[in-house]
Amino acid sequence: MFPTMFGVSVLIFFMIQLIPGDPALLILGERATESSLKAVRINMGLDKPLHVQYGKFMYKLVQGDLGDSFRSNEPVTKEIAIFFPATIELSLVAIIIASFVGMVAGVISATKQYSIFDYSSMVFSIMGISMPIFWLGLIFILIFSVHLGWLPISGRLSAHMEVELVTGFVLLDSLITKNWAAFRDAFWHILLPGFTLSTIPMALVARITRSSMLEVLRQDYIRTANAKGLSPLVVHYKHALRNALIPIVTVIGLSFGILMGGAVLTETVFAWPGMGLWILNGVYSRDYNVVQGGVLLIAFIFILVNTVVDILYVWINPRIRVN
Amino acid sequence: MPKTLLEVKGLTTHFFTDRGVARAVDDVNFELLEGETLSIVGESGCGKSVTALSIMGLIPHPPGKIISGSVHFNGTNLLNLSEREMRRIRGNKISMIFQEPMTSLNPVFKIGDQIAEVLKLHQNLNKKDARDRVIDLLNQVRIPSPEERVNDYPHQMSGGMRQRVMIAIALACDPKMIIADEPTTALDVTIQAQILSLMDHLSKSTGTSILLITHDLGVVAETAKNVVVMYAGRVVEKADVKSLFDDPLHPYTIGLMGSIPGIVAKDKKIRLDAIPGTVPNLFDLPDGCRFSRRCKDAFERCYKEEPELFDYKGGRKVRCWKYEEA
Repeated sequence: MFPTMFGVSVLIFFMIQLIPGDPALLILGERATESSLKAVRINMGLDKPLHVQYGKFMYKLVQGDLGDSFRSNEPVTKEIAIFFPATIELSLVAIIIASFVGMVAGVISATKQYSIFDYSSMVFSIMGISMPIFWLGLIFILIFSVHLGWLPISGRLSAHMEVELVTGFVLLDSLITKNWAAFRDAFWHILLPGFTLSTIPMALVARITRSSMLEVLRQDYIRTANAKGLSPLVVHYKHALRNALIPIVTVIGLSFGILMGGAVLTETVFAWPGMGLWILNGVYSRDYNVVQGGVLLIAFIFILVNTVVDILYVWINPRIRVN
Repeated sequence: MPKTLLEVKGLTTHFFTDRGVARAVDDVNFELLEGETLSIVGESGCGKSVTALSIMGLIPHPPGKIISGSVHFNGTNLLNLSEREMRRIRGNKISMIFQEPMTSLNPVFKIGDQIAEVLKLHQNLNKKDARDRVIDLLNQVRIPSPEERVNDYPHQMSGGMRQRVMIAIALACDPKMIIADEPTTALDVTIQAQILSLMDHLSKSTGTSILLITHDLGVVAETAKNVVVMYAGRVVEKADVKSLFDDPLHPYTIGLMGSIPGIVAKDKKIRLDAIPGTVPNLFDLPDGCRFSRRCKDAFERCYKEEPELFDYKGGRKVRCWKYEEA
């Protein structure tokens, strides 16, 4: 895990230098004098050679300091504390919807192979994978918010709602402070963006569950389970699914990382105040520290999730355990 | 006189596939008495396993379907039961042991839990009672230090040990009858003997009837009391084990006996008699007797008309024109 993190930090640091454009120029504007530009560069440490800049960056990183945003002059960590929970919350909701619906659909497809359900769920998953997410988001807003008026159009909370922030996760905070009205409000707000974001991983999970289950259902131990007199529900969801789980959790783990980085479009469409939008603006304004900090954090979460997946393998399949 | 436990009458199971209809089991009749061991013998593809799965109601549908017949178990026709009622019989009143011990246990669950599962399902035992009973069962199937082995996963056990676990699962709910489908085929010869003697001992001590399905006549001689010989979906001969080995009637049975290697004196070189040809295609069965194309004694009638199961002396039955008058 640590070597991976180190490699990621190097990549991110040097890749960002490849973006053309001068941060000092962007901060001061086009009519700035050469001497004032130089002063800003020295102030931000941009005059030093790259390896020195990287050394300083790492030195501060291990102390938990990601530097200040060029634009707002606030510490990057402080901005992360604001935007990060929104993205994590959205991604978690999306991955939970995707895993649950995807797995159930996949299991039903596999146990009722070539049925109407099987065909239609596979058609939906092809659509889910190939549909542009911003377009789908807009369609959902049109149907569920504008025409039917069931769900709010955008944001995390209604304007009049207030939640006392403890962790930054609105759903969690409203639960902790027993603010049920706010919880309900936040829940309705996250439903549409969460579902929109879940479509691609849901389709992937459904397809992989189906093929993995089909493989498992042919095994001898499934016949044994049937001969024991177990109900189809127990045979499918206990005996078969547990064996089919390894490729499924792999896909879920990978999807989670992709979700976090790819939430930008969904966040834009739903005006969701998350990391995606924040990093994107950082790129436009050559705010190196924001981009570095944000991407590094997402990479860290991605690695973390996949480490958890590796640990899950051992729980799922006892044969992987080392004596 | 022991009571009849299982009576199979006119059982016919077909498989409907794109290639046509496979007549896997065709008008099969036999009965199994309480406490008895009955063996069904035949080559691969003769319908032995399909017969077993038909009794259990585990024929994959589609493509398989039981066309006609009845399976009376303790007086109830199993074929008339709903799937839910049938589930209460499977693993409880009738249990099954399969051919492949290496793959028949679920690799991700502890063997103790796999045995306990049937106890919790059919006997509503709580966790502790189930565990005690599991250890008791592992003792019965002679697995050493059962208190530790309950927590083993299948991959930590040898094939013979896994088959013992399968037997423990089958025995768990004191079934009336166990269907053992080639239980020793995948095992080493020494382990085979151990498993057979274990099954024999357990059936005698618990009074459980065993329907033993095998292609191995050695296994039959060792364990069964009565034998049903099947060929291409049909019963061709029924006899008690002693008369079958002393005096096989059907040319197919005679062929099977001839293909067992015996102990032969050193310089006598005897070639084994193999039955010429192969089992007929179930999608396209020949006219007349299904064995006629491979039969040494076949005459004209055999190619045209299929013989019925004729009675023979000593309560034996045989499906061959040679014994029409007997």
